[in-house]
Amino acid sequence: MDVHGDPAALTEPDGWVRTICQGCYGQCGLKVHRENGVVTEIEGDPDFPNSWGKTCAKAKAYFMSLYDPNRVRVPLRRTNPRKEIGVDPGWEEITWEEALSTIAARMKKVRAEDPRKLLIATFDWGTMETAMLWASAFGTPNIKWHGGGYFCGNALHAVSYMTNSTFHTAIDLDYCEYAVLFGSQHGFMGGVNPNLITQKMARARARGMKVVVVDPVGTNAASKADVWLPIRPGTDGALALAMIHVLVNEEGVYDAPFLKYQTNAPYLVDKNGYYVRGGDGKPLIWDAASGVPRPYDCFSGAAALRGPEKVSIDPALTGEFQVEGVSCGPAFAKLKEAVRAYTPEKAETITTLPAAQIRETAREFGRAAKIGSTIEIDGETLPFRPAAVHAYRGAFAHKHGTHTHIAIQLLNLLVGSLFVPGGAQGSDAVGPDRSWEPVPGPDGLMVTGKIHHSSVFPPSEVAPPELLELRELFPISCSVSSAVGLSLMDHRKFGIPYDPEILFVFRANPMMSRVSPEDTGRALRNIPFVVSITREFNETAEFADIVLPDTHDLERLDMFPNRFDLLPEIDSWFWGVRQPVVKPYGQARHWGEVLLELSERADFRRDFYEILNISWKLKDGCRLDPSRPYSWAEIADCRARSAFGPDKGLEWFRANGAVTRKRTVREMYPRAFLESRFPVYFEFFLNVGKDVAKLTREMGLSWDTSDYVPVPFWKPCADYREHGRGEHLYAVNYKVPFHSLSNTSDNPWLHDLTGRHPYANKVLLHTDTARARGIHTGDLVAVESVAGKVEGRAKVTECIHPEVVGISGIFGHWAKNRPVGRRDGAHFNSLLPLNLERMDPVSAAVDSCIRVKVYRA
Amino acid sequence: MKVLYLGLARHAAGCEEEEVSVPDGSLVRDLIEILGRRHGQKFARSLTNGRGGLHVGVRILLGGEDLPPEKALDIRLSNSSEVTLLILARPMAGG
Repeated sequence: MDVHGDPAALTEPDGWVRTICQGCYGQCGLKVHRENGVVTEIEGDPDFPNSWGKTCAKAKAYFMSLYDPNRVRVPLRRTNPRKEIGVDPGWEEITWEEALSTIAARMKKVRAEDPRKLLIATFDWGTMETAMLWASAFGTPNIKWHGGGYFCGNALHAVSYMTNSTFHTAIDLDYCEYAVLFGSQHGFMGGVNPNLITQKMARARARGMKVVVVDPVGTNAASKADVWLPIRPGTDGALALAMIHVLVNEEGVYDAPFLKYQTNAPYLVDKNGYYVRGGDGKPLIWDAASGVPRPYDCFSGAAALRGPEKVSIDPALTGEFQVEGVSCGPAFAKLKEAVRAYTPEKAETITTLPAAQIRETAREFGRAAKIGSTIEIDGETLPFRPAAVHAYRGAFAHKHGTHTHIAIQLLNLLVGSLFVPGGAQGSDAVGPDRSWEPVPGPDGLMVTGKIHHSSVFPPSEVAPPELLELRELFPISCSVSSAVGLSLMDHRKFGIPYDPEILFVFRANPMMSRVSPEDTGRALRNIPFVVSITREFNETAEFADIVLPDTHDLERLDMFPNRFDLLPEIDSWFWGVRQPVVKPYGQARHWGEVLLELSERADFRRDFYEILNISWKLKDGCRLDPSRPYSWAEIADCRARSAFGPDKGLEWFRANGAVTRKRTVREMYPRAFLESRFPVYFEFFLNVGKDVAKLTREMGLSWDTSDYVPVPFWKPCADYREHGRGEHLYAVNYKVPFHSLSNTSDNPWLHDLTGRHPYANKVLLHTDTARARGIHTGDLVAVESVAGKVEGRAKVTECIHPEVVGISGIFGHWAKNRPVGRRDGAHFNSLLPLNLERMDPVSAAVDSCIRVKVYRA
Repeated sequence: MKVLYLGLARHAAGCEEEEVSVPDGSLVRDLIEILGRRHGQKFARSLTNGRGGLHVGVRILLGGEDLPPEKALDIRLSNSSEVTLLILARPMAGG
């Protein structure tokens, strides 16, 4: 077999190679068989802790992306200065030397002028940290134009950090008995860590766990659920608030001891929503046992819950009190009062779900939580709350998505279902050997203990923007990548004090994965010099000035690509290696090697090495000597030996795959041991909102700050219409299990599978909706919004809300040199405009339900 | 004492390194106050968060030793100390 004409590949010995997949976020273990330098088999690695021997279609189809004849083979330079969608860039082949010297010269100029003019866009999730450290050494903070707008929907991580101090939310499927999934396919091959979590879900279902799926589309998850609640898009917040109302106001079901001792529910709040503070500035609680106010930290919450000793303090959760002439009441009482407006009957008019169904779901959830029960695991007696809700992009990628996600997470918090067996979880609140764990921050509320994280509490400073991500105007957002596109279109409008000049794009394709390709193209045109390091000629590469060939996942070396914050529900910590199975195609190089080389040529290698030494805590003997260059493999070796000793260098990992260590009970279920408090009331929103309002007013920007309130609410999306049921259609986006982001739709095997699948890459229409428009399965239909028009093949089904048009994927790519799947299917993101009016003002999430017309094309 | 700037701290300070004189018994937080007067409060705010702590992504090394972020501001200095101030870009986080 011709291995891209690379005879060197044939020198590798035959056999199985253990490596780590990169087909999605999952970082599953793979065994790849190599014969005569060619990959001949791909299997799940049974010894890998994160995937339990399984792999999915994406990894099985690696053959086709690895041996894709349309891959970028050599460095290329653009000859056509016109950058437009569909315009041929006029590539001409250049040498690596020419490419790197050209890029380095631009970098040196920019670094001397203002390094912030350089911007990075990457979504290489396992190894993005290296890119961040490289950018830091160069001197730019602008690293946030990710390509993953399609995936998490921005409002996920900020609320996750606020409520569980980690990057992700998850469910303890080992013990859970009742799960409600809001716009989520957790456990059904959607979301993160799919191979592990789906196997855990299967076991949980086999022992009787009930699953309720809330989704306008009968997704993979909905079709396998016990109950599917086909909700109107953008109304999940109203459902969650109604469920809270049923629990706390109708049923009186909530975990009072947990709320009293481990949350801010008893903090006294005045009529303006602010905490009532003592002379030392600490929020006060009302001690019902003694009838006096006390500082919130006058007892140990964790000790009070663990018992058997109980503190004598009894923090009030309800009531009205006077503290030094100020009328006040507990935050919990404010929350209870706020949700009274969301009766199931009211929620029915918003969500279209029957009130009786809403009420029953809330009651079932409350009963399933078994409030007050305990369980013993490995000698530890822990609270047992075998019910959890989980939400993902479908629920909160909306105009007011932050508050929707807060409302959903409150369901977990109110029944005490966080970091306990059976309950909701975060990904890595407590690190290996407690190397990090949540700590009490301002007002005792939890702050993640990780040294370098992207948490939103305490919030970042409100100030005139200097970052292209406009974080200074979105201080409670974790991932503000949508705002980057906005500012790149008109950075002066936001007061950015420099002109962006260089963009590096690798393992990302903003043209497809961000909304509005037209606007994204405008943003790209505003950057004079664009470098794309890519395996395939994707849509963003067509806007590049220089394209460099990147390696395939089976050709690359990455030490420790598994980030724990992306891997919820793992039973063991593990540190592995992704290693090359075959030689790179053509002249391909790992983007990391390219960045390394550019740090040398642009004269900041010493800084880069010093920052790697510090950030990775490289020990003596493993530290990088700034006076000499290292290869990518040498750096990987130093990192491995520093972390695990001189015997466990790169070669050890190549032979053995990974170091693993079982997570302890305290690392898995830390709630009973934490002194920091979970928030159920978000007082800090008030001052952030005031600061943002003041600054944006001074800047002359029209800015909505009405979402900066401390209790959740539901407000309609821009396109929502309550009345006229059936008149309006909303397009929504959903995932299918065998595709990830935009980089799998041109894989021939996956493309073939897509064509045979009833719901992949189709335009889903409800039977009644289709009949009214004379549309039948297989018809070519147009879907048109204010932002754009796309076309795809109709699939008529009962498994979708009648007001909804379902579009999966990311499909419908259009790049010229990407022939498989080209112009095949509807590109959902083309329907969404990019503007402030359709963004969540807190998280910067783009509202992803949009009113559309549908007709036969 | 010598102060070295790494990462984003270099652009914020406008130089790679400089000599700074601090009173006997000064703490790291005193040094940052002095540097704030020299380079502007914006520079100081890029290091500390106004609640008595360091911003996320700020690392301080004393004589090459990486100081624990939660304790770094209260570490005592001498004029023979060499301090490295590193500010990292906020990490990529979600789409």
